[in-house]
Amino acid sequence: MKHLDDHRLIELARGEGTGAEREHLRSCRRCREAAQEWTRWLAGMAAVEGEALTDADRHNLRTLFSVLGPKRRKGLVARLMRPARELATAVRGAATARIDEYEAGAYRLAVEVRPAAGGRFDLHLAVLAPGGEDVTGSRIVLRSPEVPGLILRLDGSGEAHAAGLEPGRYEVACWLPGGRVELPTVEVGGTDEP
Amino acid sequence: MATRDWESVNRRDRKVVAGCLSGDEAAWMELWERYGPMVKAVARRAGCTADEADDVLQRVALVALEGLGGLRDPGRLAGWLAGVARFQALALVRERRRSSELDPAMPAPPERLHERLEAEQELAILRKAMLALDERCRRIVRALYLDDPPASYRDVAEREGLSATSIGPIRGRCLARLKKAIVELSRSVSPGH
Repeated sequence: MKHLDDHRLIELARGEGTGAEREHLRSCRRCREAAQEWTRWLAGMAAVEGEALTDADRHNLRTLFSVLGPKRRKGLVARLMRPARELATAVRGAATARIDEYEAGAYRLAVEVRPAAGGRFDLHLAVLAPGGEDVTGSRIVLRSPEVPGLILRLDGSGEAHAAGLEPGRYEVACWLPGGRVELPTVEVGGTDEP
Repeated sequence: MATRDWESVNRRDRKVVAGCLSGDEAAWMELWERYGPMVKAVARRAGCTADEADDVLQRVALVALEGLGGLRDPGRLAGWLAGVARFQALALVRERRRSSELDPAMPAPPERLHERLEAEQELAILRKAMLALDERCRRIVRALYLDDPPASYRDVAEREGLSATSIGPIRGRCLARLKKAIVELSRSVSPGH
C-alpha cells in the first residue's frame, strides 16, 4: 500500500479511515509518525483558534496603547494635597494603613494602602469629580518592577481596589474623562516615610 | 527562489511592529488580532484559567509596549510573545497558588519545563503557519480540521461557493502548504539556523 496522504492521516488520527488504512498505519512507522505530528499540530492550532479576542480584550488593549503607547497624550501629574494620614491598624505586624490625597485639575484622588495577610497590601483608590463627571469604568493602570501591569476600573462610586499587592514602589496612571492623570510614585508597604 | 508563504508573515510582522513603535493604533490592534489568541492559548497551557488568560494578555501587552523597540528581529515576534506569555502565565499561576489554597479544580501546568518551552514555541510556529495561508485555505482548514464537530464537505463547498468535488484537491493543496510552512518555520527557529 502507498503511504497515506495528509488528509487520510488526519482522518485516521481522528479514529476514522478504512481497515486497510489502519493496518497500514500499524505497520508503517513513517505514516504513524506523520499522523502523530498532525494530531499535535491540529491540537495546537485548535487551541489557538479557540481563544479569540473578546470586545473587552480589544477595549483594554486600545486603552493601554492610548495610555502608555508612543503617542500617549500628555497627562496631568497629580499633586499631593495632604501628607499621608496614618490609620491605626494592626495586621500581622504591619502597623498602619495610610491614605494620601492628591489633586489633579478638577479631580481629587485618595489612595489608601492597607496591610493585608501574608505581608501583602490592599490598595483602594477613590476619585472625586467635583464637576460631576461620571468616572465609572475609567481605567487605572498600576505598575511596578515586579508587577508589569494591573488594570483596574473605577466602579459606580468612583473607586477601584487592588488586593494582595507585593510591597514596592508603584506607578499609578488614571485615564479619566478629562485626560490622563499620573500619581507620584505610590509606596506600598516597606516604608515609614511620610 | 520562490518566496515562501511564511516569509510574508515575517514581513507583515515587521510592518506591524514598526507601526506600533510609531504610535499607529491600527497596527497595535492588528498585532493582537494576529497573536492575541496565541498568547491566551499559551497561558491556558501553562495552567491559567480563562480569566487569568485575559490577564496574561494584558500583561504581555504591557511588556510589549516597552519591549517591542528592543526586538532584534521583529520577524521573531510570535516566538517572543509566546515566551513572554509563558513567563507571565507561570508568574500568575504562582501568585494564585501563593495567595490561596490550591484549588483542585484549577488546571495544573505541565510538569516538565522543556516540554512547556517546546509547546509554547510550537504554538507560535503553528499560528504563523496558519497566518501564512490565504483566507480561503485558512477557512477550509479551520472548518474541516479545527472546528468541533468538523464541517462536512457539502457545508464547506456551499460556504465557499465551490462544487463538492473541488474541495478535495483544494483541501490537499491547503494541507500541503500548511505542512510546508510548519516544517520550514520549525527549521528557521531551530538552534544553529
